[in-house]
Amino acid sequence: MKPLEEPSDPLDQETRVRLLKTPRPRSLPILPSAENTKSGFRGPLPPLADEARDIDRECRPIYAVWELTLACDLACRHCGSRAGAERPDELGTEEAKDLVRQMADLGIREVALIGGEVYLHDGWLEVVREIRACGMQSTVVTGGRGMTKTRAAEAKAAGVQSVAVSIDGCRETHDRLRGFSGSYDAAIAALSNCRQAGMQVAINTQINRLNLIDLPHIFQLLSLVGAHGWQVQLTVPVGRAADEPEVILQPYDLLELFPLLASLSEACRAGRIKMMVGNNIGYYGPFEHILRRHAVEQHGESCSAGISTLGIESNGDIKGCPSLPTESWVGGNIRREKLVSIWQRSRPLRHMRDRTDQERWGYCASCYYGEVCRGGCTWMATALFEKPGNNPYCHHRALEMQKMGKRERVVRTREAEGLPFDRASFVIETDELGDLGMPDPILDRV
Amino acid sequence: MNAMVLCFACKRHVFAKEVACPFCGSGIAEHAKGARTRALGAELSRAERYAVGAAIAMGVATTACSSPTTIHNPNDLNTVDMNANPDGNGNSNNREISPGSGNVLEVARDPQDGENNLAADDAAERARREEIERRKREEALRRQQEEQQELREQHWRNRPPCHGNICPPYGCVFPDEACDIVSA
Repeated sequence: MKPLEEPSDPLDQETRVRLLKTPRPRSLPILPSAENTKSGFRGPLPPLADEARDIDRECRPIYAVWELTLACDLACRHCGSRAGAERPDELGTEEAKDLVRQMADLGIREVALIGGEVYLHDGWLEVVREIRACGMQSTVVTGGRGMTKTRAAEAKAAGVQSVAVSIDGCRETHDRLRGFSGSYDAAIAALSNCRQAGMQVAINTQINRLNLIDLPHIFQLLSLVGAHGWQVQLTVPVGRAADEPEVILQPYDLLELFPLLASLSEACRAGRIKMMVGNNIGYYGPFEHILRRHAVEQHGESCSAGISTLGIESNGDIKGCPSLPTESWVGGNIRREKLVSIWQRSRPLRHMRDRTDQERWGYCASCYYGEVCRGGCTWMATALFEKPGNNPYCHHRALEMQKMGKRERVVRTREAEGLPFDRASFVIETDELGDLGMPDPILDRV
Repeated sequence: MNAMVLCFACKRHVFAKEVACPFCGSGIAEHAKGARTRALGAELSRAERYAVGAAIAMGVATTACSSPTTIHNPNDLNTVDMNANPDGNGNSNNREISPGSGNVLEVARDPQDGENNLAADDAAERARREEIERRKREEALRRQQEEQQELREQHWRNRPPCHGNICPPYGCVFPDEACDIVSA
C-alpha cells in the first residue's frame, strides 16, 4: 500500500516532547482500591420495572462486550476502567458459563471478551468454549503483553475466532500511552502469535492528540501483520484518560482528523481491510458515506446501547454499553436477576429505547441532524457533562462552528474520583477564530 | 424517523423531504430520494388526483367534443377495461366499454367532429393507461417492501449461528445491517 500524506500535528513540538516525557499524574493512585470496584459500591442498583413492554422485547442484543476480569498486565494511561487489579467479586468460571447460556438464550450473536486482560481470568478458555458451544462468535481484545504462542494456540483450540490487539501509535507513542516500555513490541508479537495460531487478527486504535499523526503508521502496520480489520475510536475522558486532558482531542481537531480518516478508509478498502469507526467518532460530516460505508444506509444513526449492544462488567454488573460510566448506567447484577430481566426491565438499559427530543440540549438541541443523531455517543456526552444529549465531538458541528468563525474546546473543571469508568467534569468554551492574538487554549482548570 | 439521502453535490446526508440541500443549495434529485423514502399508499394523493384530472381535462378542452364518450374514473381501477380499443375509424361508439360500478364520467362531444374526438379519446386513454401503470408500479413496490420487511423479521428471528468471523472485536457495536456476517 502506498504511504499516505503526513497529517498535521495538533500539538506543537514543545508540547509533544513534554507530553511524551511527562510522568503519570500523581494525584490519584494508579489502581483503585479493590473494595471500590465491587458491585454496588456506588449505591444500591435501581429496581426493575414490573413488566417488560413490547419495545423491550423487540430490542434484542446482538453484540455483548464483556470485561471478563479487571486484572491486567498493563496499566494504560488512557484506560477507561483503570484496569490492573481484579475486582474482589468477579464472576467465577461456572457463573460466567451460566451467563454465556443466558446470553445465547437472549439472542446474542457475538461475544467480545475484553479486560483487563482476558487471559488473566482462570477460566477464560472454558468461557470461550461455552460461547462456541452455544453457537455464538467468540472474539478477544488484548493489549498483547502476555499473548504468547502457547496462549494463542490455546485460544485457537478453544474456539476464539478473531483477536484484536490494541495499537495506539508508533513505538514511542504507544509505549507512552500504555505506560510500559516494550508494550509496542509485545503487541506486534501478539499479532504474529495469533496469526501463526490460525486466528484472524485485527487492530483497535484509540485516537488522541498524541497519536493522530501516527495513524498512517498504523495503517501500514495493518497489511504487514495481515490484519483483516481496523476499529478506530476517540479516546474518551473516562477513567485514567480523564486524568490527562491535554492528551484528549479537542472538538476542532476533528477538522483535521476526518479527512485523514476518510483517506485511510479508502486505502483500507483498496487493501481489503475493513475499517470501522466507533460511535464516538460522531456522525454526518461530508465523509459519512465513506466512513460508514458498511452500514446499509451509509450513515450512522445513534447510540445502540440497550438496543443492540450489551456491556458486562466482571462482577456481573450489566450496562447497555461496556464503556458507559458505571455511575448511573448499571441496570442490574447477574447474581441477583436473570439477564433477560435486566435487559428488558432495567431503567438504564431502557434509556435509549425511551429517548425523546427533550433529551437533547446545547448545540445538539437545534441541530439539523438532531432527530436521527440524537446527540451522538452517550459515552462521550456523559463522560464530559454527566448526561447525554450534547456532544461537541462531531464533525458536522465543528464545520458549522468553523463557518461561523468559531471553534469549541472542552475544559476540565473537576478531576475524576479514581474509580473504574469514572468521569471528570468538563465545560465547553467557544473561541472566536478571528482573534489572531488568541492565547494557547486552557485545557485544565483543576 | 425520516429517511436520509446523500446530496450528490456536496456528499452530505440530508433528509429525503428536502427539495434543496441545506448545505450547498443543490437540488435533491428524485432518484436520490429513492423508493425507500416514502411509503406508498393505496390511494392517490390529492395533488396526484388533480394532476390526472387536469391531464384528462386538457385533452378534452383542446378538442371540440362530439359524441358522448364514457371516461372511467382514474381512481377506480375496477372500471378500467384494458381491452378497450377504438375501431380506428374515429367511431368511438364502437368502443367496447367494460361494465363498471357506475362510477363514470359522461362528457358531451360534437357528433360531427370525429377526428378531434378520436384525439381526445387517445389522450384520455393514454392518461388512463399511464395512471394504471403508475399505480401498478406503486403497488408492486409496496408489496416488495412489505416482503423485504417480513424477510428481515424472519432473518432476525431465525438466523443461524455465524461462521468465520471477520469483524474486529469490540468494534461490532453497530446495527445488525452493518455486519457482513449477519447479512451474508
